[in-house]
Amino acid sequence: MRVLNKYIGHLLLVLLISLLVAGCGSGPADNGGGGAADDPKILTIATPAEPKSVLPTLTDSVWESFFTSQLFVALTEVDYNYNVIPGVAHSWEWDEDSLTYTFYLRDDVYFHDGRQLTAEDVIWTFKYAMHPDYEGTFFQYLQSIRGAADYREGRADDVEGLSAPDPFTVQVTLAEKDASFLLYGGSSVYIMPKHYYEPFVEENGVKALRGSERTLPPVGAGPFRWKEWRPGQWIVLTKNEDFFREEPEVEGQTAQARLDEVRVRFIPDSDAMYQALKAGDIDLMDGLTADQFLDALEDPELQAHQYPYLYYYQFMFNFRDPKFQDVRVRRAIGHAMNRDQMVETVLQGLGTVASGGHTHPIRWDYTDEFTQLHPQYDPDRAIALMEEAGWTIEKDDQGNIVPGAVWTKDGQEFEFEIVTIHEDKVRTDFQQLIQRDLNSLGFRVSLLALESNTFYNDYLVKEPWQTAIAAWRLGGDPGGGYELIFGCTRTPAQNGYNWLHYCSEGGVIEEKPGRLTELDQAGRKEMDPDRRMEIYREANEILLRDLPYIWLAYPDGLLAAKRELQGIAPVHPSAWYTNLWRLAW
Amino acid sequence: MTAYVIRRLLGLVPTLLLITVITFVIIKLAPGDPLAQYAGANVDPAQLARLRQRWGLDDPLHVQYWRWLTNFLRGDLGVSLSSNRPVLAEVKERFPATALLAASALTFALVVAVPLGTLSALRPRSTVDHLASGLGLMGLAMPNFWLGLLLIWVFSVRLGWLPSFGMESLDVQGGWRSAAETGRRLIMPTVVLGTAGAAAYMRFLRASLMTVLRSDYIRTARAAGLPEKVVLYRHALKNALLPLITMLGMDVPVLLSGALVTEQVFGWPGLGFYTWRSVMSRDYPAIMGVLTIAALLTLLCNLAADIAYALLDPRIRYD
Repeated sequence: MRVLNKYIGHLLLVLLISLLVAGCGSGPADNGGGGAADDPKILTIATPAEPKSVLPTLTDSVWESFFTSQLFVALTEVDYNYNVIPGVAHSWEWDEDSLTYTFYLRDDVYFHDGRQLTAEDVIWTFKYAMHPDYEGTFFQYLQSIRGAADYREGRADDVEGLSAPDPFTVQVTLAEKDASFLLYGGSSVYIMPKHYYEPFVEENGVKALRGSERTLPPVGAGPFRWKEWRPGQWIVLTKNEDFFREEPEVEGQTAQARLDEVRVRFIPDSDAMYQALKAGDIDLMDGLTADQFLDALEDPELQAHQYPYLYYYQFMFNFRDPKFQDVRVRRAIGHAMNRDQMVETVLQGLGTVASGGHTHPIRWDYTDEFTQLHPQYDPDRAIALMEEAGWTIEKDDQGNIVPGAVWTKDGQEFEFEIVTIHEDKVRTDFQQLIQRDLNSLGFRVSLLALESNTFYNDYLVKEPWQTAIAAWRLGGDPGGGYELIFGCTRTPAQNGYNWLHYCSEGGVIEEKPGRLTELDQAGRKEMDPDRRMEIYREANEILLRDLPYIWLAYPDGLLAAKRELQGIAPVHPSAWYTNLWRLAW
Repeated sequence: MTAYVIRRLLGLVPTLLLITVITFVIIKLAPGDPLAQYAGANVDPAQLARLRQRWGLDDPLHVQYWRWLTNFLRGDLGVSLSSNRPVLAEVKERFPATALLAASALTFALVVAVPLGTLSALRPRSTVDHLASGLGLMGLAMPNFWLGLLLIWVFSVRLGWLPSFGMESLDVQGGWRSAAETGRRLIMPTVVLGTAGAAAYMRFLRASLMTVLRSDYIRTARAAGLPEKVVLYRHALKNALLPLITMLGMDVPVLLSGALVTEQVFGWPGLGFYTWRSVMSRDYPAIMGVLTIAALLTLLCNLAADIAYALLDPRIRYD
């Protein structure tokens, strides 16, 4: 027994010494910033997982795009108001007659291996994303280029609409007008060096480029260079001293304070990531929850930023359920929801009530008029509309709904289910508040939460769902979204996202594309901004007339970082890391 | 014994085959789409339909399974739909991290469980016994993620003693500095992952040892005047530990398949989180690869446990 006690004593002593040693040891290995003037200035951030790819046209998430945007450059960029501004192309011209964009490239842009970026790199990159064996989703940004479809389908050996009259001029001729080309084709398709990637592709095939980063270190012309990818541990990028943009003057900063290196670690759990920020193991975190953000506001070691970004939550009706085919019923349900309280309670005020329409207050196609068209919280109006629609409910002598009473029509009670994904607590909280609001007004609502892949790809597509809560991240341009999401002939079976089976022509799916599709197609081809505004205004008015959705809220982007980090604000609405190279300690 | 082992190894083949069939059917029947990761308001589903067709996802199930099986028999676990990299390469990349964490957690569990379980058994209903039992219950009841976040808050955020996440492999800095850094990052995940095991082993060992100490041969040994230390270590404990081998035989493959929650909380780059991500993204080749390896490990570890049992206990004979 004494032996055993001695064993336990030794064990405790070993544990104590280990903790002391650990405590006396060096701090976290990735502590960025601060330190002596000669110390490298490192920014350490974390992403939820390792990227599957960092190459242009092969990324599929916002955080994967982080790497692309730091390593590579594009023809154009986007400013804080989503206006297209020069990137590698210092200027461009549009010829209405020939449907041709002529991009004039800077002659001071060099890839990380020292080779100059020229027009043939642009053309090679575009053609890569149009190749028959290309396995990404960026072709849709380039499909309006003349000859793109033929090349993609293998009917042509080249793309008719691409040419380079000289090394610093790229001409892109479209098959039809495309008002969003400058935005999507110009700023989303980052340029890869032909001399570096073409030999690899010719030897291994187009498909082999995806996942090639372990053997073929990425080379671009972006503000950061590729240094190292240690699988499972980190990716390190170092400053590109030859980046073509001038480092901006920022008050109180010195040139030495600029970032030398960015280290990206991988932390899957959001709570753990926030703890890592609090512990000083990472320097910045985006995508905070409301609770985390409010905690960061109180933390003297951190700075917190709230910024608008293109996202909205919506409550969707399935038009295949007869109960929801009457717009008065949909409008009544809209009036029954206290969305202000939802924003205050669930988002903790870190967002705004949605005005409605497939747009967002920071996008150019938005107008405040939409707020007037969307149902606001008005329980009395909700009751009146339901009665107008022929539903009845038991009331007391004062005309109030009897507790527990349910709307009834033709012997059927108004009961339905709201389904959403369980991974997003905001949605499940919205679910519960909506259930409370509707149950108090005579509806009988049940809830269901599913795993997201099942929800989007199975339940909404195949099951007889009734209502659902989902969300959309919007692009900088409205083109394409209205057709894909609300087009009468864009149900999932028809390669669309119209899970609702809604059609603007009477709310019932028809074989014709419908007015929203017509408007969207017209809007994509309309080059005049004012005319485009009118087109999309009409589209949103239709949506607000028909209410396929009840638009719930625009959540704000929430970011926190160490207090010493400078240059974060204002946070770019497309992604916080746009202009990352301007950050400094 | 040799014949037994050979029979078991041969029997492993149809068992594994059946497991792969069941696994394949289940993951294919599960709702969802591997192309969901690409979907979004600006992504034309026609693009996704094209990818689906190119990846053979529209082929009949038996064709897909046969394709996978023939590749598997050649040692090819297929290519991940998400990363376009060989599944085997991805598993190999992550396995060392999982093995390190598993070995560390198992060691921690045994180092804690054996002395505490023994002490509890030797002094039943004493303060030490009550304390150990209480700790054991807590260890079993505490959710991994909660314990992990608590440890991070205490030791990383408040005290700043330990890094809150991540792994650093031994070759990063080299030498003892790397070993020390690896060790520091291993402490909290080890405690989190090993706590439940320690609790379970401790309670089991306590019960097993108490039963053994009541045996006739122990009474005889004491009556024969053997020192208590000899009675305990040479006779009682050795026999009490035997059933633990069976438990280890079940737990080792589970640990080696990855600890999802622990890896997720600590950003530990192991197989657990890789498997979870593969399942969430319906990366069928990756799922099949990892689950098949896990099944194989389980079968082999069970066999190893049976063999070890027979070697340690002369009463057990396999024909």
